[in-house]
Amino acid sequence: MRHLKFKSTSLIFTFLGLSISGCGMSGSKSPTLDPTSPVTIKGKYLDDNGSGLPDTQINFRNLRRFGYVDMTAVEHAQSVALFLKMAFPFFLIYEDLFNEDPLRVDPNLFRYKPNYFLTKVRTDSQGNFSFRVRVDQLMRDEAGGINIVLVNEKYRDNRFGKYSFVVKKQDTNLGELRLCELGGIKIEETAGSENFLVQWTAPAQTVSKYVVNFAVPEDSSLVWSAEVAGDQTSVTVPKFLFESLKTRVAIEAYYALESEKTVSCLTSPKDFSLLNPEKSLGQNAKVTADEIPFRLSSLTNRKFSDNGYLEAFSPSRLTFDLLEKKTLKAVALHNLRLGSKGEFEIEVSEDGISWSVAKKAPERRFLVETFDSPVTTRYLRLAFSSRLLDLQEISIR
Amino acid sequence: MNKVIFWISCSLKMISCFVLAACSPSVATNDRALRTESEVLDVRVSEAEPNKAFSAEEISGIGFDDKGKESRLFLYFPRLLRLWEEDVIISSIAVVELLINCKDVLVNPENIRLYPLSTPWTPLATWNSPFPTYAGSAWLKPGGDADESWGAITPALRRNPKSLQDFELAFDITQLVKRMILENKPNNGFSIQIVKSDLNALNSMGFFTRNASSDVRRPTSILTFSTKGAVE
Repeated sequence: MRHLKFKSTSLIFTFLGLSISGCGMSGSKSPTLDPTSPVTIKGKYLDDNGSGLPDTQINFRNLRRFGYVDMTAVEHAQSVALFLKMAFPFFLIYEDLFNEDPLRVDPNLFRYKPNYFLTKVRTDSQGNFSFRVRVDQLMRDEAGGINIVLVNEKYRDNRFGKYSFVVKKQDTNLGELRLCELGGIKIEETAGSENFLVQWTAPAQTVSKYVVNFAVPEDSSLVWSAEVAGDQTSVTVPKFLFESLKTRVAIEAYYALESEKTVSCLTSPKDFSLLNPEKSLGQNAKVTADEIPFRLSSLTNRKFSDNGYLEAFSPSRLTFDLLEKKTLKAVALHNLRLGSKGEFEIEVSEDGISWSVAKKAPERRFLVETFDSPVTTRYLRLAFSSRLLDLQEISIR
Repeated sequence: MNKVIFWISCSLKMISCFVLAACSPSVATNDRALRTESEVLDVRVSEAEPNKAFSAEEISGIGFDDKGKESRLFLYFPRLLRLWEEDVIISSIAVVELLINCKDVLVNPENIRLYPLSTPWTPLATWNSPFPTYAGSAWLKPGGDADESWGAITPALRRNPKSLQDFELAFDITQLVKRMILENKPNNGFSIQIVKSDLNALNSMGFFTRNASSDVRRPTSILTFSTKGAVE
């Protein structure tokens, strides 16, 4: 008999997918610790009113990217497998990983999947939790860092608190994490305005910054993100980014922003559709990319999907034929990823042959570039500083 | 009619076992894969030569020729459902993908469509028949009985990590496989078809088959973790 069980862990993945870890810890190097040494990680979860959050499951995830166990520090993979089976016996998929011959992958490193759910604990009556594992039971990233994410299991209203940190010593005290109540997310829009407003109320605790994430509701894949300072309680968003599409918004409030530790809380998400939307001018544009033989339809179809085309071909220029002359005010890029970041150029042409640079701007993952004055053109070209790895959608005002 | 289908189904399984025993490819590896199933049968069928099976090609040209005649590729993984063995817990983070390799991508991947087949077929299948040596055997519709009620699946595209000069088309068949298991639907394999479009550089392209000289180019199905929603 086959057992088909769908676990609530999907919710955690969904919410983690919405979050952006802002501190860039990947690649952090942990100090050399004796492989057999115990590592203790402590912290405390609080409800939004400051009282301890009792009997709450805290999930322990190892690494945000592919991780490796140094086989010279582990007698053999089966010992780790045994630990995992004991710690998390119902997740039998682990067995398949350890049944692989590690030597086939690399003589010294055993590769793991990203975002691994390693183990879990429950908080005590005061909200305290403590993990105790051995160094060689932790996985390291390619640079040797032991990066860990801790997040609570689904809490009422889908609120989560997250610690992201690098193990630097044998005893780590993460301090308190308070789930936040931002008074519900409010969307304010007015007809005739080019922007809408996302508003919330400040929590009791001091916040360093907010990251407001927008996603496709179906799979919670990130389509836009905006960052504001901790003393702000609203963000202005251009309407033409989402048109009338159903969009999900969630806010992550960062309490601590140390170089190798972030403490944050995520609000429950809100789905919305704009009542007075603004259409993107990019629809139906004919899009070509250097080195890609076929024409692209995925950059302007408002699906915000990542089909892998750009990463597979790695072009550095995209050309848009808008089919007729249009007056453009701004261009927005959703989820831009490049081999390395620099400046990109927005070029325009009336015939697709002679081009002129209309704007130069730094390359960022989510960006809106407004022209100094409106530009009338039929052809638009984006010339990036390096090869494209991803770009999910382009919106044009 | 039911007897015929049953007989064809039995024949298919017997022939599958024979062919697999005779030319079973070695297991391809994929770093992302939790499990890999590389035993596959494939055959190209062509509207231009409707009574001929093209099962010995290393690269099968799918799509439309100069005269507008269509070719399709049928794929059958006899052990597809074994990717999810007994007691394996399927969570929303696991996906089943069907991987097909090609040298170049001349068709916009949104116009490369995969459909499950509703009728069993044999490696001798042609445009006109799932089992031409059996008199009277015919598809309900020439070109193979693609079950379009499931909706078309289009592939994601990436470089083949084991052969970087090649492209890998990854069809996410998770929902199909779940329905096959939950609703006890038969696994009759898949049909890959090209849709004509001005988004395509050409309305045809070649795919490596099980006859590819290299393991890493052969069609494979894998169980893997979804990368969607992973922390970055």
